[in-house]
Amino acid sequence: MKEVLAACRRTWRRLDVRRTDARAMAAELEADLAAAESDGTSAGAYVGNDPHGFALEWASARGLIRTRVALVSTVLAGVLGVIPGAVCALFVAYGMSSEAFAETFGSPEQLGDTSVMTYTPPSWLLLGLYTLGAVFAYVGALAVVSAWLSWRLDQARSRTLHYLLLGMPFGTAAAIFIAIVFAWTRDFSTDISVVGADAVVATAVFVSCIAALRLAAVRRERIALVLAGGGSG
Amino acid sequence: MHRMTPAYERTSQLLRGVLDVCLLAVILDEPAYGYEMTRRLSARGLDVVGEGSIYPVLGRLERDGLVEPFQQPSDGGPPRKYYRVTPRGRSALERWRQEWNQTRSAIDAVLSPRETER
Repeated sequence: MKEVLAACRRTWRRLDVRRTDARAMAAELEADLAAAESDGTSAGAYVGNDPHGFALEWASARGLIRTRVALVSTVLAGVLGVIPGAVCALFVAYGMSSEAFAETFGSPEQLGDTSVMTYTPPSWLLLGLYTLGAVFAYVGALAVVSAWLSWRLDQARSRTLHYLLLGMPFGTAAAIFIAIVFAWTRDFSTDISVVGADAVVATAVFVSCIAALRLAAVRRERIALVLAGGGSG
Repeated sequence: MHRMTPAYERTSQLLRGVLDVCLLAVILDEPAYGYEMTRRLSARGLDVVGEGSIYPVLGRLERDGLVEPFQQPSDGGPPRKYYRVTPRGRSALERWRQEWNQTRSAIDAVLSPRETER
């Protein structure tokens, strides 16, 4: 019985059911499970072999599942998904100007009395890497947001992903454009402070995009729920 | 626990469609808590219903204002949540009974051996 109750409580917590409602449902279920067990019916048999689905269906039927904005956590999930792709691209872009890279791929250049190996990456290559990073960031953001909202049993998950899928390319394009403009104003410097600031600017645009799309998705979901006569805001 | 045979599945599906009516009927005269309702259903031959499935149905009935919950002291334990039928629920039950009778008559006519032999 304890396992079934714990599973239900976990589900209601993930669904963000209000504590008072969750406590009331748990108390009702506990009393009924105790009565069923005294009649020889196990808790598992009583609620079925899927306590999570049972708890979800019950809360949904009572209209206790709220469509949360969860803006901070959703944006954080998106940023988390962005990081691997963006960092990889930045490392490559920054690494191309390193001494080690110049030693391998550079050409000798006379500087005063000494000859040093130098390598200046072409702009098209840097732009390509930035674009590749944005693509990875896009896919990564979608994947992590999807996983996070799925774990939270979020009511607006599908709509959020749909909005992100369609809207993020524009946000990504805006982030790339602004990052390029920023880099251009700094002569495409690969100085760590410039590259870092560029990443912050691009991330800020991306974050704003995710936040705006999430807000729009939740708002639309709430309207759809009201029209369908179910759920609570 | 019942084995999930095709016949059992079909019966369960049928009952799920009318479970709200049955729940209203078993608490019409005397309020009950969830498990007590399953006992009453079972006493009338509906033990095939998965007990847990009554809670979402009760939730919908409560949300639609067809039943109302209230707390009642229990023997030795904390107060239990009981459900009773509201006036709106009585009207709904009466309407659903008529719908069920019409549907049952129609299905009986279709499934009648005399009809199928023709």
